This record gives sequence, C-alpha cells and structure tokens, in this order.
Amino acid sequence: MKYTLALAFLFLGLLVNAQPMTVTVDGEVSFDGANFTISEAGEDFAATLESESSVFVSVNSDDNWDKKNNPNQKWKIEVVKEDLVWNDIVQLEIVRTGQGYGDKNNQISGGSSYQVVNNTSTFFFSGRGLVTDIPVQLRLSGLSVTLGAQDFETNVLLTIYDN
Amino acid sequence: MKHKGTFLVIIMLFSITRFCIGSGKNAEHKASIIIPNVALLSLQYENSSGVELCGISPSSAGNTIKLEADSEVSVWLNYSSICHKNQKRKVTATVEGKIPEGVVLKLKAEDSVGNGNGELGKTNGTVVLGQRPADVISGIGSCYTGKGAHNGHLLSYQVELDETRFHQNTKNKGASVNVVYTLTDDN
Repeated sequence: MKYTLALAFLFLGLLVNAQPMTVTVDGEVSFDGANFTISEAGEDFAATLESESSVFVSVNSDDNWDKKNNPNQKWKIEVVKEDLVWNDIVQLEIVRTGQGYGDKNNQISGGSSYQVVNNTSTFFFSGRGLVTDIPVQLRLSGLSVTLGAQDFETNVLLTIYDN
Repeated sequence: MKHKGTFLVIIMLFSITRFCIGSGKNAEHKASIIIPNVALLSLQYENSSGVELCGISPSSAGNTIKLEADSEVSVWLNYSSICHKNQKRKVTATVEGKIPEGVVLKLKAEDSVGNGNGELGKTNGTVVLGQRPADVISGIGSCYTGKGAHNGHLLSYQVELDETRFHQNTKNKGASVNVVYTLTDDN
C-alpha cells in the first residue's frame, strides 16, 4: 500500500512539473534598407549595425504551485542561433538593455554587454522569479557591400534552465 | 514512526522530481537581414570641377593651331555598388552640349586605387566622348572604391583636332560642354 502511495505521489509530482518556467519573446528583428544606408558614394557600410527596435523577453511560469511557493526560483537563459541562410563573415551579437518588470527581489545579472551569438548554446543572463519585458537588442558586424545584395536569416533561440 | 518514514520518502521523491525535471523551455525569434541593391556614384575634385582645354595660337603665319595634348585635372570617380551575384554594372559618360566640329574629346579612366574593396570595375582605356553613352568602366560587381580624392578611378581628358574638319568650319569658337557620368546595369 505504502509503495503504491509513494508511486502515486511521484506521478503527481511529474504531472505538476509538466509546465516548468517558460521564456517568451515578443517582437521581431529585421535589418533592411532602412539600416543599410551608405551616406556617400565610395563608402562601405558602417562597422556595426544595431537593430532599431528591441525584442522583449519574459520569464513566466504556468505552474501555479511554483508561482505561489517558489517565487524566487533561480533561472538562467542561454542563447544560440540556428541558421537558415547565413554567411559566417557576418556576426550577430546580442545584449540585454534593461531589467524588465517583476518583483523587486527579482534581480537579473549578466548579458549587459554585447556577446556573439554562436551556433553553440552559451550563457546569456540569469535571474530569479518571474520577470516580464526584458529588453534585448541585436547588432550585426562584419557586413560589407562586397557581400552583394542578398538575404540572410537565422533563428535566435533562447532557452531557460533552472539555475 | 514507520508511517513518518514513508511520508518523508514521498516528500523527498516529490521534491527531487520538482527540481530535476522540467528545465529547458525555449523560445525563438527570427532575425532577418535584407541587403538591398545600391548604386551610388560621385565625382571628387582636388581643385576645380571644370576642365579647360585651350588652343594655342600659332607663332608664325601659316602654322597650325595646336591644342593641349591632354589635361589631368584630378577628377576622381567614386562609387559604391551592391548587386546580385551574377549582375554587373558599368559607368558610362555622355556629353551634354555641342563639341566644336573637328574637335574630338577623349576620356581616359585609370584603374581603381585607394581604399576600395570588392569587385571593382576595369577601365576601358581611352574612349571618345559624344552624345551617345560611352562605356568608361565595366565589370563592376559589389564593391566600394573608397571616398574622396585618391580613391577610385582617376579621370583625364584629351582633345584631338581633325584639322580638315576643323578648318572647314569657320564658325568654330569656344564651347562649353558637360560630361555626365552614370552608374548603370551592364546588360
């Protein structure tokens, strides 16, 4: 009987944990004609191009038990890119430009200076609890007119882990 | 006591489950880069933008009128070009205005020098200028010449005289013409 009970609780635990902390991203980043300006004939692009609009990252939980009983759960976010069409000369960099909104104890650290987004997952920033609308900006470097007229596309993937 | 132990085991298992399972949720967004077509051209001068080609009066009666052989006026052609992989561009020059009868205006573009990079154009050497576009530089891909004097292609003008036609036309006098440069697709 007691083993059955133990297994039942364990199974219940699994069910409860089916919805861990989640990360969502709002906004879109597109570098197009408006960004690629050449002020005078004979010039190349600027060394770096920053995205005009920010992307907002939110850390949430669908688990009410977590929200109530573990409001300061530590987490970390890693970033990786999955290229659709890309040229390795072009570097994509990411930075966190703000704290977002959350409980005053929910401090975020890391990611406040530009770091290269690679094809292998790397640490971006960490924090605790639920935080919404953390602004994130992207920057391109290594672009040149010599690359020619073409389109590049990559998926930037943010993954949240318990920390 | 026995029940207490079982309860503790259950709690432990429950806790372990909570903290070991369920990490690694992710979200993604697309970053797209669209590099557009660009064709920008400018002329850069070290001094004046005007070129003056003067005839020299003969010192003795019966001698021919001489024209300055050539004029290098430090006009530099700068351009930035972004095009598709197999697309090429060229620079053409056209004369606006009337060149005097018997006077042949020629233009020579040097190969690009300076801080440029990419698929820079090749000079077509010396070309005769007229009211129809003359190809001055060809094979321009995606590139930039660098900005300002001493970057890009140095241009120089030459004037030749077709004496027969020149002397037949007694109405010849000074003329001012504009040379218009265009960076265009090379089809």
